[in-house]
Amino acid sequence: MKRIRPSRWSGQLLQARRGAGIPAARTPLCLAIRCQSTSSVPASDSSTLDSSSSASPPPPPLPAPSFDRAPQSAKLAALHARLSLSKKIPLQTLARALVTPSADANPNFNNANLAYLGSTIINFHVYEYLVCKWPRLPMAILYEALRAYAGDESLQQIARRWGVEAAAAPGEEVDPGLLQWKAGEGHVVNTRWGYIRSEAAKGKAWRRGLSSRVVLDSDFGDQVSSSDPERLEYNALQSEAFGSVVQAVIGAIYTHCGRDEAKAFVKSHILSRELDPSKLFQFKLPTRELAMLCAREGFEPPIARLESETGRLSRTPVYVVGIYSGKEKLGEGAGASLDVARRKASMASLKAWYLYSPGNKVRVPSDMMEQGAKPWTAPHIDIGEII
Amino acid sequence: MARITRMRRLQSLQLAIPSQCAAAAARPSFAAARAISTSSPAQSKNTDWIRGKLWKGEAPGPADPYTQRMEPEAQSNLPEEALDSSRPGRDKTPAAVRESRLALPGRRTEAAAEKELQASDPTYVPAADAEGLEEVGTLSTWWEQPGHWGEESEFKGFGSAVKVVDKEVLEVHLRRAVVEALALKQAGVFSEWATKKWSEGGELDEALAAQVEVQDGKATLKGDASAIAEALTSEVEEAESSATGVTVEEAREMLKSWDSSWKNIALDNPLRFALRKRLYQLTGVLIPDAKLAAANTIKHILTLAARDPKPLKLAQVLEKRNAFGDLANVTVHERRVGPIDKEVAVGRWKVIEEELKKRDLPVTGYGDAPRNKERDWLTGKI
Repeated sequence: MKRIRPSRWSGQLLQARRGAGIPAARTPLCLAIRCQSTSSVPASDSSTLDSSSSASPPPPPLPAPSFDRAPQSAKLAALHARLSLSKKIPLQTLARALVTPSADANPNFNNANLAYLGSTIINFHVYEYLVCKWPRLPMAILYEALRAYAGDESLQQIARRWGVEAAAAPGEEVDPGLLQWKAGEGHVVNTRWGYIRSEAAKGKAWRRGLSSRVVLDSDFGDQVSSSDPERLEYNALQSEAFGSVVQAVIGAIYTHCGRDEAKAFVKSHILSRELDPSKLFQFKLPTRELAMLCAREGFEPPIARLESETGRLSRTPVYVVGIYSGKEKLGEGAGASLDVARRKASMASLKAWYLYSPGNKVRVPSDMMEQGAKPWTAPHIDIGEII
Repeated sequence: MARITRMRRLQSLQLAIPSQCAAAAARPSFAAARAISTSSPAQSKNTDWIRGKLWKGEAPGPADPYTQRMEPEAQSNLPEEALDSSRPGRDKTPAAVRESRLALPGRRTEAAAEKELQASDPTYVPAADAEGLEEVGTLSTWWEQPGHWGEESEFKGFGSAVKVVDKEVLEVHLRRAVVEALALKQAGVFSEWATKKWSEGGELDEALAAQVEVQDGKATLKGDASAIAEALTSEVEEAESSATGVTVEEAREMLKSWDSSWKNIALDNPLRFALRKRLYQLTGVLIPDAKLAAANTIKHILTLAARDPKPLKLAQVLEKRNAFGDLANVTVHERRVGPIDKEVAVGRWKVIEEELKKRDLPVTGYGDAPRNKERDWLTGKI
C-alpha cells in the first residue's frame, strides 16, 4: 500500500475562495468566524481579531470534524484505498463527502453540492444504460428500474458495502472517516430537481399522467412539492444520508479526475449490480394490452390456444395455453384454470415484447465521448407505452 | 377467656410491686435516693429460690449485682511531683507545639459576662451590632490566612529538587564534589566540615579549573584550594538560585579535557559519605547506603549514581522507527484506547456527558456513591 501524500494534491474543493460561493442571503452569521482552512482567513481581519480574541470565550465547537484532521484519520485512508480512488482526490474531499447537510448546514463544508453533481452523473449513466439495454421498457418501469439502480436505498447498500459507518452524533471531535448525519427536524432536501405543479393542492393523483411526470417531476418521477415539505421517516433520512455519500464520491471523482473516471466508477459500482426488470412488471389487463400491442404493431390479433392439459376433473388441473398471432407463437403460460393460464400466457408475451434487449454489449451515447470512438449508429428505442 | 383467669397465678410479682410503690411514696424524693437497680432488697427473698435452683446450691456473688456500692478510693503510689503535674490548671501543651515557630491559633478565652462587666464598669453599654468587630476566619481556614503558612514554612529538601539524569552532567558534578572535598582536606577543615552543610553557591568553574593529580590512589589538588574551601565554608546564603546549568554538550566537552585518572582516587569512609552527600545536594541523586559501602573508587560512585535513561514507550519506539509512517490506514495511539476514547471517536461521548450532567450524575467515576460494598463482603474485608 502506498502512502497518500495530501501535500501534493491540489484540491479546488478544499480551498475556499474569499468572497466567492455563498450568496449573502444564504450566509448565516457563523460563516464569518468559521475558518477550517488556513487559506480562507482574510489577512486584513487578523489584526482586529487578535485584540478581541484574547478576551473572548473559545469559539463554539464545529458541527463536523475539521478537514485538517482528515490526513490523520485511518478510516478515511482505508476507505480511500478500498475504493481504489485516484491520488488526485485528496482525503479532505473524501472527508467532505461524508458530511451531510443534516450535520453541517454550511454548504461550503457539507457534501450537498458534490452529491447533487454526483446524482446527475449517476442518473445520466444509469438512464442511458437502461434505455439502450431495454429499449421497450414502459416509462413507469423505467422509473422504477432507475430507482433500483440509483435510488437512495440502493445507494445506501452500496455505501454500507464500501464500509461507510455513521457516527453516533456528528461533531468536531468525531473521526472524519465516519458519516456525519443526524435525523433532524430542519432537514432540507436539496438534491431534487423538478417543477412544482400548480394544481398540487388538489391531491397527489390529480392530472398526474406519465407524460406530465416526465416533464414536471424529479428524476425518479416523484412529485416535487415545496408548500408541504415531506416529513421523511428515520429510515428514509438514513438512506438519503448514506446515498449522498456515494453521490458525493462520484461527484468528487468527476471534479478531480474527470468524466471517464466517473463513468468507469459508476459502471463498476452501480451498473454492475444485478437487476431483473421482469420482476418490476404488474399487469392489470394483460389480454387487452396484448391485443392493443398487436393492433399497434400490425400483427394479427392474438389468439389463445390450449396446448395441453392434465387433470381437468381432478383437484389440481394444469392447463398450458399458448398465445398465437397468426402462425407465430407469442408466449405460453400454465395455470390452474383456463383463464389464469390465458392471462399468464399474455403476460409472458408482453414481457417478451417489453424486455427485448439488443444484447449485453450495447453502446450508450456517452461512449461517443471517448477518444477515437466508432461512428454512432442510432439504437432502436421504442415508444414504450401501450396503454 | 381462659388466659385471663390464669393471670392470677403470678402472685409473687403482684406482691412485690405494691411494696415498692409504698416505699417510694414514703420517701421524700425518689430521684434523690434512687439506686441503679430497681429491685428492692426485700425482693431478694423472693428470688433466692430461683438462684438456688439455677446454681444447684449456694449461689456465688451478691444477690443483687446491680446495686451500686461505695468503692474504696484508689490509693495512688505515685510521687507527689507526678500528682502535681496531673492537676488541672497547668499548661499541658506539648513542648514541640510550645516552641514551634509556626503561628498557631491562640487559646480560647472567654469574655467577661455582661453582669460582671457592669459591676466593674457602670458605663458599659453592650453592643447592638457587629460594627467595628475584627473579622477572624474559622479554624478550618487558619493555614490559608496570610502569615500563617508562608514560603518559609514550605519544605525545602537538602537534595536538589531538579534531578540530574544525564550521565555526563552527573560526572561533572561528581568531579566538582571531589575537588571540593580535596580542597577542604588541604585546608585542614575536612573533618570539621564533613558533617556540615557545604555552601551551594560555590563557583562551579573555579572548582572545575583545579587540577587533580593522582598517585597510588592518593590525590592532590593543584590550584586555588584555599579559595574553594573558603567558598564552601562561607556562611553567606547568597546564591540560592544559582542553579548550575550544565548542558550535556558542555559536560561532554569538559569530560574530554580531563584525564580519567581522577576516577581512580581511593575512598575512605568520610570521603565516601561526604561525596555522596555533596552529590545529593548538587544533583538530587542519592546513592543508597547499602550500595555505597561497595564503592571503593570514584568510578564506583559514578557507576552507582548514573542510571540508564527511561526506556521508551512502544508508541515512541514505533514513531522513532517510523514503523507505520507509510501506512495511512494505521494509527498509533500513545496510550490505551479506552471506552471513553471510543465513544468520543464516534461522537457519542458529548451526548452521554450532557445527559449525565442533566441528571446530576458524575461524568466519570462514582461521585459520592460508596464503592461496591458487596465485593468487600465477599472478599471478607468487612
